[in-house]
Amino acid sequence: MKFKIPFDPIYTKDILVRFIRDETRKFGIDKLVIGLSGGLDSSVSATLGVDALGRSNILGYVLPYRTTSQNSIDDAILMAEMLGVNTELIDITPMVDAYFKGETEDRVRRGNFIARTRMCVLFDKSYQHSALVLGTSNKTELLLGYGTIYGDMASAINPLGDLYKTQVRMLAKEIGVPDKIIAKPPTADLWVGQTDEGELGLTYEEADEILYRLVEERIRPELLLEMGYREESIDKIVYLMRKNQYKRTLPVIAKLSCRTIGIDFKYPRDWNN
Amino acid sequence: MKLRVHLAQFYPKLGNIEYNMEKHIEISGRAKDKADLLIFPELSLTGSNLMDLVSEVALEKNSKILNPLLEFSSNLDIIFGLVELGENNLFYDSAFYCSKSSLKYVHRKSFLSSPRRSGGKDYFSSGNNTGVLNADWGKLGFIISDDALNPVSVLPFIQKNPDIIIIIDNGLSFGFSSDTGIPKSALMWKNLISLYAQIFCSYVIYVNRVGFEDGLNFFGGSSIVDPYGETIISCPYFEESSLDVELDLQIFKSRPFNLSFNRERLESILRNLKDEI
Repeated sequence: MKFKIPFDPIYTKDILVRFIRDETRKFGIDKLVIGLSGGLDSSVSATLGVDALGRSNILGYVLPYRTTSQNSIDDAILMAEMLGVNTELIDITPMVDAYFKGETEDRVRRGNFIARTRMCVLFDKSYQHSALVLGTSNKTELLLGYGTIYGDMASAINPLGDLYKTQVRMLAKEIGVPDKIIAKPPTADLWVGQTDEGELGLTYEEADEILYRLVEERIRPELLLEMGYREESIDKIVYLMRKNQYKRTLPVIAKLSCRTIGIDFKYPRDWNN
Repeated sequence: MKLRVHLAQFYPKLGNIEYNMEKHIEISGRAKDKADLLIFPELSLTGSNLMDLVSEVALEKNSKILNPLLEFSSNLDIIFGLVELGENNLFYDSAFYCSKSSLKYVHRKSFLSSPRRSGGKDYFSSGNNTGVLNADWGKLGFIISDDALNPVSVLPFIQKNPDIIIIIDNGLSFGFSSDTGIPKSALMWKNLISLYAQIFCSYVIYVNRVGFEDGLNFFGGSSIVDPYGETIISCPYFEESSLDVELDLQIFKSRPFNLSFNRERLESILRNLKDEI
């Protein structure tokens, strides 16, 4: 029988809506800003945000670069209209191109800069509106490091961070994200023709199943191989998880004092609730 | 004998004793005329995910901050949870039992190694009490949260036969269950307290908290199970709530099972084990 990752969309929706509401309001804040890409993850996060705080408290930003597909922009606007949230479209092309001045053809450099420019806009908007930035990175991306550190991985609260991509898809169905958005190939849309699965060399179904076995069930890679999983996929996933651990941590600090931040100065984030 | 119990499934503010004490006073005020025993969750005065705040919120047994609850306990027995600053400056995850305006009993959590909690044995020391108290209205067995997952914690109950086992918890939501809408962890606790009720022929009162701390979610679902293992009443999951219940302690005069055989047999097993060690 085919393995199926356990999931309960009703429970998940309930917890995540409560989580967003709680972790926002306990700091005296009642607004969220979110970047809408027209993709699955931002559509799901925005929908949960609306359920948690109401449409008038969600501020959507569509932040295209000149290479962003019109289809992505259209889907982002479709989602914003469907949710009834205030949305602003800001073309980030002048900001990005002003920096590079045409001097690089390195699409990864440019892609990272695009992601970080969006982050700058969102955090600026969050300050302007006394809001928090709602994150959109899912667990698959976080584990594989498939995201830009201090770019799309940056947020104040992230409701999707403990959900694999395939679980986000199931949740999307539960909360009414349009099929058109659920079905389209996931892409960071940082350059023309980019798709997540093409770049990773793995489908999300395969990646999630192997990640689930490795992370949740703590099955060792050599046993996964005996269970019939592809060696190439296992190796790639283990490699990416280890290589990108730094993206999931704070910058490392050299210990000098008796109490060093992150080592033996440890306070909860909710300290000031 | 009848015992009127009030369960307070509430949401403490992390590290904010002043706020939490106000809530304790408010809830005690509501309970004082309708209950004999009021029970708060684990670490109800401080919150759970404290990390380095442990040393800043710890209270000694004689702390004046506790006086309002001692006053309420003149007519209402109260159980609440806190970080206790004990002898030799050690910290304990403790439950205080106050009755007749004084602190009658302190129960300290023993097993601290749960990987899902920040804190645990990095901050707290292990208690070693038996967890059994003779209250005016009957015999009481205490368990604090994950101690229930270690059978050693309940060994004293084999000999002492508590009428009521009280489990106070900071039970986390995690895992997907086959029961839609409820986390796997909540089902695990539901099964466990039912099992304890049947094994020890006791009522089990389970009091959990709700709310979020740094993304950790506490599921609530406080409940009371009768000695047959059936849930008499329960609070909703994830919501602040309270329960008022009257328990008939006469039920122990006709226990569903005869424990004496079990007790003797287990005592003999323990003696043999001790010899082997």
